Order: sequence, then C-alpha cells, then structure tokens
Amino acid sequence: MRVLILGNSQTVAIARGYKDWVASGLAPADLELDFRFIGMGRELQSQFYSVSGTQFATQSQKVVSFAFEGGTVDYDHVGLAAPYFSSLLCKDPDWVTFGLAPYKDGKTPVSRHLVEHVTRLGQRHLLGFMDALQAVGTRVFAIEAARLFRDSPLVQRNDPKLVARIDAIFCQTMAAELERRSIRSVLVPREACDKKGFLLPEHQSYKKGDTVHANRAFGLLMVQQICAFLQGA
Amino acid sequence: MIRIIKGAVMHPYSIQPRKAFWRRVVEEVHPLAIDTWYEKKFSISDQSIAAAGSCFAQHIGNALRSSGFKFLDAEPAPKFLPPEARLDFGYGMYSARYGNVYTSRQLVQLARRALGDFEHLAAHIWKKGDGFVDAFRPTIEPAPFASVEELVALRDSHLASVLTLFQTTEVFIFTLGLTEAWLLKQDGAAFPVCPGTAGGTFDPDLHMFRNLGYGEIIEDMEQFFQIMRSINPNMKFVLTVSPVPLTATATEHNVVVASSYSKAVLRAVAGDLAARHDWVDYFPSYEIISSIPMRSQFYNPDMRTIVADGVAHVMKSFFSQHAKPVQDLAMILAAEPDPDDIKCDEELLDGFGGEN
Repeated sequence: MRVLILGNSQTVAIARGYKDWVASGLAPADLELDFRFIGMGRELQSQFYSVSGTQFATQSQKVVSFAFEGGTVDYDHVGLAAPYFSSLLCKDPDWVTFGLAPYKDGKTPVSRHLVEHVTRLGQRHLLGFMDALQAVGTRVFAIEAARLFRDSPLVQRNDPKLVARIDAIFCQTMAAELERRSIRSVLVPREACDKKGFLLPEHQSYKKGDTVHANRAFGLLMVQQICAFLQGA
Repeated sequence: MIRIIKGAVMHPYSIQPRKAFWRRVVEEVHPLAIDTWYEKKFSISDQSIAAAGSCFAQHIGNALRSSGFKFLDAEPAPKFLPPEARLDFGYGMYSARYGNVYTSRQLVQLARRALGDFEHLAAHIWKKGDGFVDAFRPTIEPAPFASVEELVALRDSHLASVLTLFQTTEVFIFTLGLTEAWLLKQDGAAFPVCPGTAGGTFDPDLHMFRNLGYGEIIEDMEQFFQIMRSINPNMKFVLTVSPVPLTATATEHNVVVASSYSKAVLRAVAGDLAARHDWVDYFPSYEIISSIPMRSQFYNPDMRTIVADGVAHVMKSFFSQHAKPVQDLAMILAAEPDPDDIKCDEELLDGFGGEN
C-alpha cells in the first residue's frame, strides 16, 4: 500500500518517526509512506495549489511540487497533516484583549460562531484542496499532527484556558467539515495530552525553544496510529 | 419687510442669494454642478465623530473613516477575523456594533440601554433555529448565538462599549431612516425589524406596529439629545435623512405613498431640530439624491438603492464644507470600502413580503 502524507512543518516529526520505524525493521513491509511538505501553516491559508485535470501542483516556490499522474494511480491514500493545525489562530496576539463568550475573563468577548467562521475561512484552501483530491477519486484522510504546548510563551500569554477553548472549537469545526466530506481523521491519542488537550512534554521537540513541533518519538506514535487506521480502512 | 433704497422698492427676495432661486440653482445649472446644497453650521474636522442610523449611514461612516476624520470605533474587530468577514459580524459598520438604527425610538432606547436605564426582558431575546438573537440587533452576526448566556455576555460588553463611545463622542451623526417601528407592548422596546423576520415569532398579543408621528420623533430625538448632552454637554449632532425608500410598509398604503409620508416626517423633524438648536446641523443627503432636479439618476434600477456615484456625490458635498484632514477625494474613494458593501436588514422584508 502506497500512501502519500502531505502537510506543513508538523509533518516532519511523523516522517522522522516513520524513518525510525523502518530502520527498526518493525514497520509493515506492505506499507510505503511518502512525505511531502506543501507549505508553512500560513501559506496553506492562501491559494497554495493549482489543479489541472488530475495534475496537482503547489504554488509556493519554497515547496516541492507534486503531481498525480493519472489521478489515483500513484497512491492508494493521501493523508493531510494540517487540517487540525490551530496554532495560528490560538496564538494570535489579539486574544490578549479578546475572549470567548460567555466566559467572564475581563476580555472583550467574541462568539463561538465567530471562531468557527474564522476557522473555516483560514482552512478553506486546505479544504478546497481536499475536495479537489476527492474529485479525482483520491482517497483522502486527515491527520492531527500535533497538539499545542501548554508552556508555549504565546499560549501562556493568551491564557491556556482560553487557548484550550479556542482550540476545541477549531478542532470541532474542522472535524465537522471533514465529516461532511466523508473524510476520516487520525487523531493524537488522548494519553499523549493533558486534561485540557495540550501535548505532554515528553512528546515535544527535543530542540530547546521549539514550542511548536513534536519529536520523532511522537512521530513514531502517530505513524503507528496511521498504519492502524489504514489497515482498517 | 420692505426697504426703500435710493428710491427703489426692495423686498425680501431681492436680497436673497442665488441659491434661493430655482431658476439659478436648477434651470441654469447641470444637476451635478449644483454646489450650494449645504453650509455647515459648525466644524467637525477636529472632533471625535460617531455615527448611527439606517443603512445609508454606513456610507457616511465609511467615507469619514477613510478620509482621515476622527471616526470612533468603540468595538473594533479582532485582527484574526479577516477584513472581508468583519461587516458580516457587525464590525466597522458604525461606531459600535449596534447594527442599523432605523428609528428615533431605537436610538433613544440604545442610549438608555447603554446607561442601564432600560430593563432587560426575556422578550428582548428571540429564538432562531437552535440558537438565540438579540432582538435589538438580530442580524449583528450571520448565525444565532449558541446560548442565552453567550448572547447576554456579548450584549453586556456591547452596551458597555456604547457607553464608552458616547462618553468620547464630540459629534454624533444620525441618519433618520424610518418612521415605521415594531414595538414590544410590554415596555415599548423598539426593534429594528418585525419579530419573525430575523428571529422570534410575531405575536399580535405581544408586539405592535407603530408609525411614529412627527411629535413622537421630535420627543425621542430631544430625549436622546438630553441624554447625550448629560454625558457631554458640548456634544453636537448632524442629522441626515436616508434617501432610500421603504422596502415594505406595514400600513394600508401603497409603499411609495407610505415612503413619501415617512420621509416627509423625518425631513421635517430634522429641519426643525436643526432650526431649534445651534448644536444640531442638517446635512441634505436626502435632497442630493432624491430631489426632483437630480432626476433619480443616483438610484439603481430598483429605484430604491443608491449607486456608488450617488454616495460619492453626497460625500463630495459634505466634504466641500467639512475639509478632510488628509487626502483628496480620489484617494478617499480608492480607500473606501465598496459602496455596495453595506448591511441592510430592511432587505429581509423582501424575503417575507406578500405575493398579493
């Protein structure tokens, strides 16, 4: 089974985890994963791809172009590791002054619906990309590539309680959008997160100061989740 | 008064300026060259300005904002909400997220609610689908609020912002739009739209229609002035009348006849208030768009909504008296949002209009 995993920088940990898994000799022999970086988080909020028939290409010069010759021939599945990337919204500096109704935290409240709307607008190109893949017969699935870190300075600045609420709305909104498209998701196991859904320290990047990316051990955990999902698909 | 000067008999008209004569203003001048529409009563150029009114008022606010006036925004949008979505959520529509304020009754109640002088009732919250809307601004967001608690938190925050706005306003611009109002019988609360059109359910036992008369509107406006000047004794007001006719009438009259009545009353109120108070000015956007010499050229084919050129022409007259702090008109118009990009709940009536 050939599977292409596409995504932002969060995908790197999964790619590394897969590499380790293969090197250990424990990876299933009949599963081949390819990884392609399609853009940074903010790039994916713009029209980052073009479609011509069954040919897909990314627009950014920074990213590697990819193409499906003949639609679904090349890969049995395509996984997108970016739909649940809530970091840009959750870490926006305006959450210092804005809060979420009806919680009383002294901030100017916005509605839940506004957060849902911002989520859909931010992810519309990614969702459009998934629609386009499905339109040419590609079997698409979504991957939750990481979770937010509670000790991130930006999460702390915006208030972890508030960030957890925004992240929950973001993820619920995206889950509904994906479900509407019959796209299934591979989620981060609950045991990898704390009660509020933040990624536990042991799964966070080994690089000091990196408060965004997961480590390769987490990547291995996720690649095993992906494998289990595909075997059941 | 008749005066005799050097043997010639003079009468009051003989000393009137050119602009006082129809022939001079209309017959001898191209409609777009009429340049005597308005003379300001006081300067607003260095003042903090707030605006409210019917949907035409959004154009005035947009033009002031983009031309460098101190146009207040007490509820700015969060930056994470993309600019193209802000109007949908009532941001940048006026100086706070009160939505369209069509009637004098809504305006005075907005001030009273901001001051905590108008009790919140359960009937001020309308059910819509699975959620709830604020009956005083039922279309402020594209979807209803998820819960009453959410609505109340947003309403309370909004009213606190409105109070802050009023405390910092030096000039308040209000565009009178309608005389036809929908009221709650229990407390007289005035809603911007008829219950049932944007949420809630119309109940003749609870709700009533009222076509506000001249005296009522004068009373509302005087009460509003009193409240606002109790906050800031030096506050000034610029009144305009929306040139946009009614979408629909709840009276027994033809909609054109009803519209004519409504505009006539509002125009009389605005004129009389301006004549009564030194600190109230009247800006004739209504005449610049809808008067006979203008030949309806600024109306879209629906003969109701206003084309972008009409808005620009109105604002050109306004800015001829109120010098823009920066930029020329071309730059203002380039920076201004699309003039068609306004939010008008009155349009909802089209969707609920009868077929008879």
